[in-house]
Amino acid sequence: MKIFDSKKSGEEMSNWFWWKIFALVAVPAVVLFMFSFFKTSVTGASEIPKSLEEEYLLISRFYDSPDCFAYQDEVGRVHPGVIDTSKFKQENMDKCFPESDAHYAYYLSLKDLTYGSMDFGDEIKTSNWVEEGAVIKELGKDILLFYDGKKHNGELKVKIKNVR
Amino acid sequence: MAKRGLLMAVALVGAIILLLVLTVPLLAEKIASRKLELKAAASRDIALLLDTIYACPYDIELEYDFDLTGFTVEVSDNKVKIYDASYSAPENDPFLAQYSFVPVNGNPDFTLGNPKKLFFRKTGGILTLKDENI
Repeated sequence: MKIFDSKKSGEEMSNWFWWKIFALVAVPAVVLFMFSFFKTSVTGASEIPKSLEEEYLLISRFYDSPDCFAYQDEVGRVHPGVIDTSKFKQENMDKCFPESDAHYAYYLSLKDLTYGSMDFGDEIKTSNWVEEGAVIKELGKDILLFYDGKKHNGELKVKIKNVR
Repeated sequence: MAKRGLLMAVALVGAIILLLVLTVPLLAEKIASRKLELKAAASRDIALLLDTIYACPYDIELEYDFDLTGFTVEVSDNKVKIYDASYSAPENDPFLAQYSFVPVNGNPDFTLGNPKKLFFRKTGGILTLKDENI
């Protein structure tokens, strides 16, 4: 089968310069198209709804889990939403939020609201917290503080950084 | 010179066509079977589930009723990795899906092949994961 009918078109098609241009443009374009199509398809399908914000999902452990800072009474009952201030230490934080490839880093501090608003105890952070980079969110969560054998109104202040 | 150029051009076009013929069906099969999306979504789903379980103040049992036959689910190094069951290790799967989670006071290590369902249980802060009802 004769692909190129006329002598002129044959000469043009055999022009090496234009084929080089074609190869430089077409091949990367095809490869890029395939990768972008593939990536968009996978990313789109695995996207978690915006309403489910992962950074908040990780915060609840701080005041709900007895292995973090949640108050656990003498009979072993856990009081979710109540932070035992004696547990609010960096060493407990390292067990509660060990090193991982987590996307978010947290910086926590407590405020005692019983006698006006005042900072209370230490400020602690997750091991992946870095000083560089902006804080993407800062929030205050109403909780209870347990100290002196009683519960007091308090606030858990959380700074969040995206570290990925 | 023109003849040589034509031959080169034909070879080049041939190479592009060969590339497409070899890669497009492979990708098309993966995309059409939704395996890649399933792996990516399930790994993230399970990782977020683990974060939720660890935040739970009490003992908890949870059934993840999603058929992952054809895959191996590995929970190790604080990551959920899902790879094709035909591969012996996650690194061997070129389309490995993985997502990180943060355990509390532990380092869970589980590998389950072809799970039809996953059963999570946290008792006294210790997590177990099985592919049959515990």
